Amino acid sequence: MRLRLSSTGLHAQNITLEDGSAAVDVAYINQQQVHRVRAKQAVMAGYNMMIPYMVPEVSEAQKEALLQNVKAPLVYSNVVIRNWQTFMKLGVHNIYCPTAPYCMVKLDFPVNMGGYEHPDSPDKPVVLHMVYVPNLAGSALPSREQSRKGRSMLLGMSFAEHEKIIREQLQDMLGGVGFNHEEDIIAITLNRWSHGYSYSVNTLFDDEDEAEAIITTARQPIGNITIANSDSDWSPYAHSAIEQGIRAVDELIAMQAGGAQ
Amino acid sequence: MSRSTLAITSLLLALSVPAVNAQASEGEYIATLGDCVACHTSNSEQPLAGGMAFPTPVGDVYSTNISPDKTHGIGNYTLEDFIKAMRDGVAKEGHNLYPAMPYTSYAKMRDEDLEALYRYLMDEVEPQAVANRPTDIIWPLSMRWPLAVWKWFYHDDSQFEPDNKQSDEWNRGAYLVQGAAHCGTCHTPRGFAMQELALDGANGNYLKGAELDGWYAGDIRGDLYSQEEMVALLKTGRSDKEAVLGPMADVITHSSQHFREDDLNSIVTYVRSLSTTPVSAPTQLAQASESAKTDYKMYCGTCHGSDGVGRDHIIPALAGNSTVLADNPASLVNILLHGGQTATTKAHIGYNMPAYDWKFNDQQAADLLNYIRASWGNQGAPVSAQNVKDQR
Repeated sequence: MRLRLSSTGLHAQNITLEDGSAAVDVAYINQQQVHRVRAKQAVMAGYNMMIPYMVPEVSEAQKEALLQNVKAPLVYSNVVIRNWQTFMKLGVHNIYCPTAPYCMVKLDFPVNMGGYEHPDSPDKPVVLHMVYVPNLAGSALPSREQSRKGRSMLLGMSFAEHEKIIREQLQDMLGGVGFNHEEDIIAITLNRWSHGYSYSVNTLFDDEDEAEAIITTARQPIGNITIANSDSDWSPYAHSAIEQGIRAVDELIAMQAGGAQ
Repeated sequence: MSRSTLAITSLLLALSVPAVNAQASEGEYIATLGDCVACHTSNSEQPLAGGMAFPTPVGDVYSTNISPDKTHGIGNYTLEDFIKAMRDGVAKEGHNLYPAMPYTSYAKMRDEDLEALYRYLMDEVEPQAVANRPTDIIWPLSMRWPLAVWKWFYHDDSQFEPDNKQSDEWNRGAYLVQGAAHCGTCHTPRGFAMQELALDGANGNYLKGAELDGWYAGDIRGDLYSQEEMVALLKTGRSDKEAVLGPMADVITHSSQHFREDDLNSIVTYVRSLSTTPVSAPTQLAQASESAKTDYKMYCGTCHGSDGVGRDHIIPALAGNSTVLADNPASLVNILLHGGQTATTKAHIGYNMPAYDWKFNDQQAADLLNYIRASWGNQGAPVSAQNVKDQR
């Protein structure tokens, strides 16, 4: 097995060799050079919405199904504050803020790892974990459209705008118990996922049977190419990625058992 | 504080909508009409304690403490003192007020409304022990006696006179627009002495549009907007085609969204009745370039649509948009470079337009704006790279 690190997949295509056997050609780019490898079978285990572009032979119906997986943009911000006495005063560790930019603000998990020990006293600096899903809350637009517009908004925002939002929200939330963002915020890091979590069924608005049919259509094998990734289950979690990886490989094995297509 | 209390508090803080008592006194309502808080509050935890800076060519002046604090505020003002300040622009201590305080408009208010406002400020507002900040204007420019000369030329202290030929609704609208709401402060062009060129609708300059602090407050005379559309803009900051950003979004957030429905309609009735002069077509039209079209698709089209129609009451249309097509491109340039937020109202949280000053150089920004001013039937005048540079 050879892992090709720092390589970005560009294209996958089912082909028929001169001897009539089936194979898959995969093109990828590494250090500005395009390479091609040939395999009997392949698994597309990345962002599923790119598959119509990377595997253009996919049927129109499957393309349409794949394009339904509009991911939500997501921002995880880590903010180091001087101490967490304000949280002690409020008696909270995790705050949901439904109408604020950051919908969740919490003290990060108290994990010890290697030489790192979590702050065991409210007088010590602590990392706040803050979650922001850029969207158009209250607009009543479909969630897919909100995600697209939120992504556009996220990609247009400078760090200064993010910093302003964070400072204002923390000051509004904690200022009443003595927080002063100018003194108490030590550092901020932003983790921006313009294509963050996969689309998930929302039972308020989605027909579950219809959604299931779309998911099934979207992850159909394309010749000797199967489709994995948590996207293929509309479930943005590690366990889904593992389950879908197993399913995609099982499909390949089944193909081999029945003779490569 | 309980967790549920905190959650509710967080929600309210996040909305940042100034609380206006549903059972507001008449005085509080008049304070809302006049948007006193916008200029007299620099720290939300000290309402009406003043301290907001107003840049002038010779230095900043600062709004004063109008809370009823007897040392720093207006706690020692009698009703007569208060009316004199509002109508004549003279403080209790005898000095003339800078016309950054729009007493040229407030002069038109009726005595009973000024008294109600006085009672509200004295009886319902918390005193704030915050000292007034002296102006940054150095002597001798800081001398105030020239303001008496300015007032002699430009200030009319007479109250509003109803026009008997017009309806009660029209007269109520005129009274509010010319008086407490002081719309002309931003929307009326100013002369060389920074005086408003007109103080009522009979003069065609009134509400004809003006640039202030890098924003262009548009020409709102006549029927550019339908009655429903303009009421919606004042109430929510959005209509089916447009959205308000910049200083007017703050006015809506703090003031006009709280206006009574009949007052909103009166205001719009009056403004729409004002005569307009035909606008000549631009002698030169903006041109759409291919490179700008690509930028539009990449940075604008997702929200505003490839056809520039936006989404009703959410994302403003760019096709036919009055800000897009305004002769003066100041607001358009400002929004592209610096972004903005729509008004936060009782019904809606504000939406952000990101700032793109980091992305486009002056020429790229001008090209993009020209693409917008030349597409989907738009026929606007060109925006130059210098226009963009001036707004950075």
